Amino acid sequence: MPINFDISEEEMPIFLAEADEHLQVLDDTLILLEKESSNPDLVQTVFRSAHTIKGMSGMIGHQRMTNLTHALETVLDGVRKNSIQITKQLINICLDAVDHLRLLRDEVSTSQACDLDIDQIVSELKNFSEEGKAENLPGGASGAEVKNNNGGSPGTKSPLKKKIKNLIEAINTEASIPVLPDKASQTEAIIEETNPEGATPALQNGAFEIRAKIDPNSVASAARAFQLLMALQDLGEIQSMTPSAAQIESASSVKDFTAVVASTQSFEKVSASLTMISEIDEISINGMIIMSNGSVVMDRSQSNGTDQTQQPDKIEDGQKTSSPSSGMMLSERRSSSPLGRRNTDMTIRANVERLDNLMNLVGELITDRNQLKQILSRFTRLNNNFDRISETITHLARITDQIQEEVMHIRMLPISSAFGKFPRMVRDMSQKIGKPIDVVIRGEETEMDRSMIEEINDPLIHLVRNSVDHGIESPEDRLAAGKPERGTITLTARHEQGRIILTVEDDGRGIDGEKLRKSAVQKGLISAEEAAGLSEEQSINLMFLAGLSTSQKITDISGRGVGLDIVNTNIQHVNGSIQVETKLGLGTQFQIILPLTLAIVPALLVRVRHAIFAIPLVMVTETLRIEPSEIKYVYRKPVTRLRKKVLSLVYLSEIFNIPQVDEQEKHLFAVIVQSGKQRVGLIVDSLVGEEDVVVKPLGAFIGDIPGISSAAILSEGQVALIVDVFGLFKLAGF
Amino acid sequence: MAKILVVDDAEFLRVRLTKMLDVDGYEVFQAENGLKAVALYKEIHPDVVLMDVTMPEMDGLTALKEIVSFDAKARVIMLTALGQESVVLEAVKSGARDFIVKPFEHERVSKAITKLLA
Repeated sequence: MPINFDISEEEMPIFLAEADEHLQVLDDTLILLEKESSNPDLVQTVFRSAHTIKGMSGMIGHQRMTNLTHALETVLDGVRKNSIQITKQLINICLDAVDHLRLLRDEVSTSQACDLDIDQIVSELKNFSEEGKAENLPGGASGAEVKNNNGGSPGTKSPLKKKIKNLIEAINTEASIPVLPDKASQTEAIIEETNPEGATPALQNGAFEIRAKIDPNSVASAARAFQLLMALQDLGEIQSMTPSAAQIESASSVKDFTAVVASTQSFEKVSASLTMISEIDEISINGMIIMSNGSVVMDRSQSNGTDQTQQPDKIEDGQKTSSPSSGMMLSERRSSSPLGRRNTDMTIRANVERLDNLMNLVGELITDRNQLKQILSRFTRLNNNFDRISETITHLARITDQIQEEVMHIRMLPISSAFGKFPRMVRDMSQKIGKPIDVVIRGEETEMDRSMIEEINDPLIHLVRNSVDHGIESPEDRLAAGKPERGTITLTARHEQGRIILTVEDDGRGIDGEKLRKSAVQKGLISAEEAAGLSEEQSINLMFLAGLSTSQKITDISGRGVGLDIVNTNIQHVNGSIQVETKLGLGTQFQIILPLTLAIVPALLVRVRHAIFAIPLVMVTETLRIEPSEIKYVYRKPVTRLRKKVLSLVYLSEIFNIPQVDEQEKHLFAVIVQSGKQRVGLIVDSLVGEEDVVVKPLGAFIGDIPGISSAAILSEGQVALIVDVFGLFKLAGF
Repeated sequence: MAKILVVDDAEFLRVRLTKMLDVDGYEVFQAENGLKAVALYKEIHPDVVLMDVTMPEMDGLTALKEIVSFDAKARVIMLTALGQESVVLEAVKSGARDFIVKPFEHERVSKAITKLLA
């Protein structure tokens, strides 16, 4: 069902980003709060985020979101005031509310109402706050330090006050005096009536009777009454007032406000200062005169009845047409993070599509630069003097590099956007399966290309799930093994030599290579002989085989029929690689190595016959010259000896069916690539060089080619195919 | 041209208020917490301040008090929400000249400011 909110297109991304930020803060902080419930800063943080979401959603007319955040905020306020205890149950329900809020947030982005009933959760939250209230009754209303210097008792101090008091009583009891006199004649009549002696009264002092009706919808009518009180205090001396100052200060709601103030101010002044107060539906100000004989009379027609609609609300045209934006300060985009983690910096928002386009253009620029360099080197070889061109090209190359770096940085996001969800996720899972687990995150500020973050999201989730489910032992087993009862999963991110290294580590039981071998044989993935020949390292790598799962039973946490092979595939897909390190009884660490960006890949160019292939450098561990005589055959498969170890070889020409030419005597090259812990030497004819290649998808016309991920245009204008090393391994039967 | 200082930790609220006030022809300044609001107040002497209550670093009530102690004539309008009744009362006692409850309409903001500037 379509649903519309009061939000403009430009406001939308701000709203969504801000809502997301606060929802994440809620998630993170609620979890922290569960552990350190006594930390008042955390309580304040969650309260503030809930409050902010409430305010924002209210502004766009998102009633359900407002209602739910209001209920949540009320509970958190109770926690803040120590009337509600933090329990696991409370945190659960609050987190549940956050989940609901996420769905409601999505309504704003999709303009589609989701089928979500919030009544249940709202009433659960309300139950918490009701309980809290019941416990906290003696506490009473807050912020009500009662000042007693005014109004409370319309005293008997001065005779004047007494007289005015009497008059008020008269006004209140005698129907002959209209409550809201609107005609001059009436008040004049009153004066005559109340001045039976007919003497010219000497003006001794002025007074005003104020009667105001406060907007019944005002959320803080007492505050309005208080504003009236303050204004009256400024004007003169308050003689009487209903409700009393004490009542007003107790913050109880006020509908009707009546007061008499002795003042020497003009009617206009009184009127002006009282009508400045908002949410006063009706106000009547009646002038009074205190006669020398002590009697008090209503003044001449100094009475009026105003309501807000009569106020000069229109803004003058002159102001409307002026341009205020010129002097407007640029605001900092991000409000400083409630947890104080993020730096506030001057930023603008840019459309991702724009950035992608920019990146494509930079790609073209890089291709041109490479070609220019190539052309130049050819000319130089011809011994021509091209100093000027050479300088220019060098400069162009440097600028292009810088632009590339800048554009890449614009596309970068901190990895926290991928890591952020894990504390919550692990908490929920660990509760479900009864294993207490802590999540430690390091290097969350490490920046990565946004598309890369999207790509590694699923693999990360999978690895973390795996650790929770299979890695970390039950608390009993852990205690029995002399480990702390709580398991720990550590996520780290860092930059290293132009690459990004992510790790997912647990302090669980580790992976048993023997078990993996058995399981793989049982499932017919490898033969018993093959299994026997596997090293421990190779056995561990079996876990990346499709169809292998060592878990005894399928659980709804990780055993969804998707194995680590998918993780591996996804990571290879972005030219990354994954490695496992495991120690039985101590834990497992997965290390994911990724390039900085997907759009431009540093690659090693190799030649096989007439074709040039680009092998992502991130996959290459080393290259070596190899004589045909050094290639031996084991089970008809080519191998060679590298530092006393056997290295499997693969002829790229065979894999890609490039016609063989008889070249027995020529030396060859082996490019050693690594996928997981599997190392293979790719046999090529020659090494061409290294180049940053701009990745171009093959397109639907050519489609997927096994072993090839994409193509690139080289500096000499040739097309090179970019090798998908993982796919290649599969093709070669590894 | 009257200067208005908008203080709210929620960017969305700042943007929306700025747009409203922009239309009304005011010069708008923004601050995202009380601390920055107080500093900015001293620098630019705005004619009216629209001040959120719940903010990090320094909340609106504290900022209000600091601003009023610096300038007794300061015209501060508090931006409050349901559930903050007692805060509102304290704000008014501390010198807030008006308060506006979220969610608010453009008209409500315009009126409140016009009243104070009158």
